[in-house]
Amino acid sequence: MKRRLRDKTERLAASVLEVPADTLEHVARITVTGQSQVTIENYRVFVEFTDRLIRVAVAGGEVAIRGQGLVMRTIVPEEVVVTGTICGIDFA
Amino acid sequence: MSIRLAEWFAGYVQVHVLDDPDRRMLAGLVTRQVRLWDVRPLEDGSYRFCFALTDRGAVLSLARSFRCRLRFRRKRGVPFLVWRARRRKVFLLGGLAFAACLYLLSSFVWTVQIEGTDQPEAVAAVLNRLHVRPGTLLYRLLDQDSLQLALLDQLPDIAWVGVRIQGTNVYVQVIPRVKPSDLIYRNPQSIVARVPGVVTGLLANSGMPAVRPGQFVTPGTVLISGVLSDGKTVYAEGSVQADVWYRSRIAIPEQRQAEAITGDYVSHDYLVIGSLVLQVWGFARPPYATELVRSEEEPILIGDVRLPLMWRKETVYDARKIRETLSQVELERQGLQLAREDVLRSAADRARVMRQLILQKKLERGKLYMSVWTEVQEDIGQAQQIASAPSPTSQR
Repeated sequence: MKRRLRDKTERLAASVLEVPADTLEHVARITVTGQSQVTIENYRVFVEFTDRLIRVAVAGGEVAIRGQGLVMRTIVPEEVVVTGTICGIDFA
Repeated sequence: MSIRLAEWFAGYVQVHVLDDPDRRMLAGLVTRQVRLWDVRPLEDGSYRFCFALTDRGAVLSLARSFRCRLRFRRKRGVPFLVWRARRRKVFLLGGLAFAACLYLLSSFVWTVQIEGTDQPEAVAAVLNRLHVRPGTLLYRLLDQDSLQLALLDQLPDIAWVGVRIQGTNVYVQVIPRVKPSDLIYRNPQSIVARVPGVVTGLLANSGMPAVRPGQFVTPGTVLISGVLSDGKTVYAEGSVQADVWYRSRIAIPEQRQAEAITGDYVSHDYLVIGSLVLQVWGFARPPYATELVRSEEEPILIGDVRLPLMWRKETVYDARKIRETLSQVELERQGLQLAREDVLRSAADRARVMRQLILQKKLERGKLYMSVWTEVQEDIGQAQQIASAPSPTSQR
């Protein structure tokens, strides 16, 4: 309840003050570099992990990266870097 | 594989996780905020990843709680190197010994190169006194500027010297001093006649000519005076050409003996081994009354290698003694030639024979006695110091 209230307040403040949404703490940011690398910041946990599909839980949903020969190059508490041949990114 | 320097220093492990199809262990590691990299799923459903050595406690405890089997694939980084080095003490010792040797050997002077002088020995001797020689410790050397100053101080023949100590080599560049030409001090002198004669030509480079062409001079006559008209004395120089006469007495035998080769010859070949001489070819013994032997030796070569053998080729010529009686004209010609040679031997350099006359000739007891008169043109000048010079001046 408390968390939700905070999120709501933050979103409201962001829309009122016109702050870019990616500066907020609990919004996932996904950077795609060409076809070979995807960086997901502010992720929560892995749901599925194979060399063809990686599903990552983020704030407010889930991100699925489809591709071939997928490897998680780096996993640090703030971000995960996925490399391989990327075919698509789905949100659920 | 991204090997960052910090990870390499801290050490990291690549681990292969079996028995974890649901990636529970991976999720656990992520929630525990363990840094992972190169997480790679494998064909059989297992996966592998790398983690820093500092996180090994978390990885091992999670593996134990999820009952996953781990296979450690690679151990990289400084901690593992140290661990391996500890197990190979002799190897480590060798490395240390190598470093020590390198350090020790590079603290000596190995070569001293001296350039730019034709007398490197003199420079090397001074450098030796300054302890700059192969084998000296580099710490004992003076610095480059001091060495340069010391060299300049001790070698008067050099104008500049550059000393460069580069590693274990000492380079010395010398620029020799160009010496000014020596001053020649000459005492005032005159040119006087050496022999009697008639002056034909006179060329004075310095000094006053005292005679004229056509003048007869006796030994000691001043030809070119070193005393000038104003009383100053100089170093007189010049050439005085004069006709000089010589009288020679010559005796020539009428008959002459000589050996002449008839053209008949026999050759013998020998092999010479040290002092042993073996006749190899040609054994004929010719019936020559008089013979002339000419022998040639040449070394035996195989390619460029010289064998200790010599090949001697001996040729025996048939020689015949010849007696000939010379004619009067030939005898006179020879007599004049002998006289000419005799005179030129006693005359000055570059003398020229102008005329020759036979004054007397007499054939007696198989010999021709001749008296020959020879006129020679030569330089009759002779230097004579001016003894009591009133004001001796010097000239270069």
